[in-house]
Amino acid sequence: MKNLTDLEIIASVKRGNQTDYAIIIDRYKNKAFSLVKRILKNEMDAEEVLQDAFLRAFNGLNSFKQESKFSTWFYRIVYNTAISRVNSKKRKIENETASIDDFFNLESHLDIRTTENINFSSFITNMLEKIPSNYSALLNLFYINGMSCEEISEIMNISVSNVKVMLHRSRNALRDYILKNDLLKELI
Amino acid sequence: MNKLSDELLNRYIDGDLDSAAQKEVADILTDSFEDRSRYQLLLTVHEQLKKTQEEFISDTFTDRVMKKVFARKKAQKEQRNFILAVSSIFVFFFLIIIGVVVFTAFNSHVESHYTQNYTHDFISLLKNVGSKILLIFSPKGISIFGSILSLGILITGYFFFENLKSSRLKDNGVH
Repeated sequence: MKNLTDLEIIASVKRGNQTDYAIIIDRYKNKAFSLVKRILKNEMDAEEVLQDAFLRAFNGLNSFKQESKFSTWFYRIVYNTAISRVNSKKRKIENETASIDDFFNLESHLDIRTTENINFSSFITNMLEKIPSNYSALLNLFYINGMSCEEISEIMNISVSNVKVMLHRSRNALRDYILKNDLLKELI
Repeated sequence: MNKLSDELLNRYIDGDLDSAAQKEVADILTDSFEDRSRYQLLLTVHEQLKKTQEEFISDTFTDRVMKKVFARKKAQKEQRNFILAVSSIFVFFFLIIIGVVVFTAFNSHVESHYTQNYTHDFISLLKNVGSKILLIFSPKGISIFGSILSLGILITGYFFFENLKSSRLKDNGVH
């Protein structure tokens, strides 16, 4: 059963085998959790939002017309649910809209040296937790979920060129931060 | 001095350049130490981002979601049954009213207008039924009928919202 494609499992769920939805949950839960956690910056909220997203996806299975991949359709629900939560909690919207370059210029909240035995991997993980939600969501979708720029543009409802610009800015900002703070020797 | 823009370096990493541009960038990278070190650090960031691991959610997550799925399905089924039951009751009462009206009209018709001319009899029966139905919508009839209908809707609405409330509470209780 676990070797079945998403579409085969969904067809089975639609036929009334609701327990098969557990396979979809198991297949996507960790990657979706990474995405939500990086958007919300909070593990408890992330679990709750992810539960809600899985329920929304289940209730909306009949509206999935297979025009895109199931994963794209599902991550779009996850992304929108997480963004709605951020907005409903009225978190600082500046964080969402601010440029990633501005964020890296405010170094007070990025004191990377406080972490002992820092390496490149933990530096990147740390940065993903702290950079603005839309940038960390994009990096998560691109690198962890392995999605293309086209798929990300569909999920985040922005143009493909904007996805590329944001992706490039994120990498440049991380690189410039390392250079500016002379972290290269410590990280590698 | 940097000959290659960050934009170009990023597109080179992503393989977004055509073969001519790709060769040009590769040549510049061979010649320019500054560009090469910028590129190498950018590439390292890209490679490290690729190695980023997914986060792991608790093991019980799937069970919790599935419980909610089943609870919600059950609640939806209960609501559907409730609506079906209530509509059946309304339809039943409506049919009784219509039956009584037709029966009364037919009886009074047989007693007073029976002529063995079927067309005439049928039209006069219809007129009789029509006049009995109109009685329901007379000022007195409509107020009684309206009161009964409103009471029915109020009672049904109350139970429907109580049902919705309890299913939501159950839904939240599965956390």
